[in-house]
Amino acid sequence: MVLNQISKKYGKQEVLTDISLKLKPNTIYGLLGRNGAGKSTLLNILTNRIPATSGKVLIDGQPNLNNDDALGKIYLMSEPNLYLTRAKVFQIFRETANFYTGFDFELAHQLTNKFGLNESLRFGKLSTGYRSILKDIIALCVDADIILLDEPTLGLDANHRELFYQELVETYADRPRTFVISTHLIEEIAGMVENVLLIKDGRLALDDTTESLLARSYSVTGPEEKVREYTAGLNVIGHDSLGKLRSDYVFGKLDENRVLPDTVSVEKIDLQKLFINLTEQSDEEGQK
Amino acid sequence: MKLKKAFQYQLASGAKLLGWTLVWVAVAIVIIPFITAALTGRLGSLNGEDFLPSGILEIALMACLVFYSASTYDSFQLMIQNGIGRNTYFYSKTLVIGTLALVGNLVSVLYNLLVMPFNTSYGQGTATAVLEGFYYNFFSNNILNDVMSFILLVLLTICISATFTFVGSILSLFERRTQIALIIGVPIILIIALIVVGNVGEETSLKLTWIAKVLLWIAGESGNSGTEGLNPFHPLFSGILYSVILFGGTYFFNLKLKTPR
Repeated sequence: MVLNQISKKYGKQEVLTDISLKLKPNTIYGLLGRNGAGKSTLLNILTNRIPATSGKVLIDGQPNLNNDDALGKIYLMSEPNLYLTRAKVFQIFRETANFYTGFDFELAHQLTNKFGLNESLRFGKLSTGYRSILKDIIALCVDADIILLDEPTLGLDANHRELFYQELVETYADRPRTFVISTHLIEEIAGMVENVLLIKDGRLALDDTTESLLARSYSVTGPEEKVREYTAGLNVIGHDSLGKLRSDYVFGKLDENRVLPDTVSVEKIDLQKLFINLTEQSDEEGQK
Repeated sequence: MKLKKAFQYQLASGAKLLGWTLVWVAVAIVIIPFITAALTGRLGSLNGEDFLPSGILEIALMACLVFYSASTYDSFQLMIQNGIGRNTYFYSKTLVIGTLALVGNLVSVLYNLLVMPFNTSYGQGTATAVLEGFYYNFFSNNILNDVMSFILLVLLTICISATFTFVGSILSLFERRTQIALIIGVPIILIIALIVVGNVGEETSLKLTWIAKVLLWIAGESGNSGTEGLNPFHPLFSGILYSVILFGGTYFFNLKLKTPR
């Protein structure tokens, strides 16, 4: 899938600006961004649910606009409920299998059992959590090459969330394909995400492997003065303070020629910390 | 294009809706009067016509198609969720309307023929009877007259469906609140406009006469005969043109469909 200079405006408000990227096959992506960053809009554009103001989406070289062949290669699990509220769970499976012909019924039945989802219930009678579960199950069982998951754990309790991630990894191992997971629960997906897409203020701020990003993300902790001296001139994306202790978060290469004071330590940071610090800048800028 | 799959799905839901509409029409026209008669002790006054009224399928078909045509959003949502584009959605729905209009009217005509022995007032007030009354004498061959009446019946059904499809496609672009406002507001405005137009001077009356002439021509009036000599080709061509224009408009608006933000 290739996105070429995608922009989206709602009236005068520009939600997405000039997004270009290429989704690699058989990769799990984490689509990260603050509330209102444009993640859901982007996913809706990829599946042609809403039109882009400008730009193109190509799936296997074909534009996605009203193109059944291209759209049949993607499945979007999203918060809005597009299934008929009067349809029963098993009927929704059947309807889905009518269009995604390789739908795995066996896996769907196994998953409904594991999640405790009653297949005879009508969609409209399901709780928010179980609606998410149903859509997650469908997402794992369709034969699409690209699965987009927009807040897949919305309303799920901790047990169900863990079960979902476990099943996602298992189905991915059984049949590798591209997953794009958009979520605010970064810690929970950090272990499985191979590539990070970060949207900030409607623009694609990062598109890199998780490994590469974390390899150049550090926290430098120690007495305030020493830390400031050590990180001067480096790409400091944020900091925390506790009394006279300070942690600067650095994204990018450290200066190997600088001598690290005994009282200062350098550690790696996790994806969530990196995300918070990369995206908090815009809040601070906005408040100024 | 996955037209076949989309068509099969839409046809199944359309047929299901038709079945339910038929059940409700039967309840309203046959069962409730039967129960009322039973409760009031007048069962003896009921005859075969009350149980097998002619035209019941026509009513059910029309009611079903009006609802099916006007409801755009639900089936679009399901289609786009399953990777079906707007083009395919429009084509499949239009094909289903055509299929239901054709098959439904065929079954309705056969049903009317079957219940004829039980009906003393066979066909009175049905669309088939009205169309036959207007156009039956156009050809000297009765079979041709029958076929033409049936074609016009199907076309009339399609024209009504096209109208509601068009209205539904416009409404589907708005949020629920705006839809309700439009559904209530537009007819009120139209009624007021008609009253105003009806009350203005003679110049407008002349214009209305001109409109009436066009409508009469569409109905088949050739200008030199009464209703006996109505030309069925006028409504045939007008109906086809009307349907093409409205389905074209529907296609245009359907391409603008989108899911909620």
